[in-house]
Amino acid sequence: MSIKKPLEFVQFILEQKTPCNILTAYRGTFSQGIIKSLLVLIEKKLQTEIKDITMQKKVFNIALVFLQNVCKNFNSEFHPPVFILSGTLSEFFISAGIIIENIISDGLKNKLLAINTMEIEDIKELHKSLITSKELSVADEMGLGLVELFLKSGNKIKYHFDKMSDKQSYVVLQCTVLKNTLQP
Amino acid sequence: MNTFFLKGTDDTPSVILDPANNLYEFSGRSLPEDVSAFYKPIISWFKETAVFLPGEVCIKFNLEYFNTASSKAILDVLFQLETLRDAGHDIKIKWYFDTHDESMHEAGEEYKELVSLDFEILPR
Repeated sequence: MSIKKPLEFVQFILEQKTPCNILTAYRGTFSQGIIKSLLVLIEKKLQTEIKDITMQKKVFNIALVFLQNVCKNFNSEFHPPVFILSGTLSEFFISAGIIIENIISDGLKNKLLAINTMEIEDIKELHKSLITSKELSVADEMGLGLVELFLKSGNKIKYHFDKMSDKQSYVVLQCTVLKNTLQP
Repeated sequence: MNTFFLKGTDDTPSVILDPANNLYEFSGRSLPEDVSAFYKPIISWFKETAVFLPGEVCIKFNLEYFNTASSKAILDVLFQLETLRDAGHDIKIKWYFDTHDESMHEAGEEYKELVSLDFEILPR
């Protein structure tokens, strides 16, 4: 499916194979104040929707990485990011739609490809190597955020790149948390 | 001896560094917008106050959540504490985690591997 506009992204989320409820959705500027307000909202929503506190914490931690590392880093006045927290009976989805320059989209895609094919122990080693680095480049910071998403969700990061023009692409990133994996 | 005290907010942890009462604790949420500006004075405090610290220092990390940038800054604090240990102080770390929070437990395990300090991971 082609995703070129934020509304198409929302439609994409709603058109998952199984019925999907949107728990939190926001499109706009991701300032520190807005992120704090969203976190309060997400926390309250999760406390209402999920009885399992371990699951609440897990989904909240992933949402936090999405808001601070994905949405905030790709803030754009003209193309504001979209954040959506949604769920089905069996899974939670934490997703973001961002517009990025094509000159960095290849790097991002390569990082995602590499992380998704690594074993969990190798991912942990990569995380250690990144947080012990003296200085992190913007690309390293992006990589660290992706590694954290993988580690916190315990699943591969789903992604979709859609070239909008010669200069920009619309990118959707999504983490999945299986509800039944943590139930006794 | 200087006491370093920061009241916690929605996005910054409470920090107590109190040599007079031998009490050192980080608690709450660490999601500051400018992580470097928040943690730099803490690292400087440990550098400048080292000579006044008692022989045995126990630092408690009792955090609820922290962001990616804070994870690196916390490690920098721990590296600074290694320097104090090398200077002769007996440094102990107590890392508390909510038993429902896998991420905080795993973060503690990772820090324990990355630093050579007396590091205890404890359920809250």
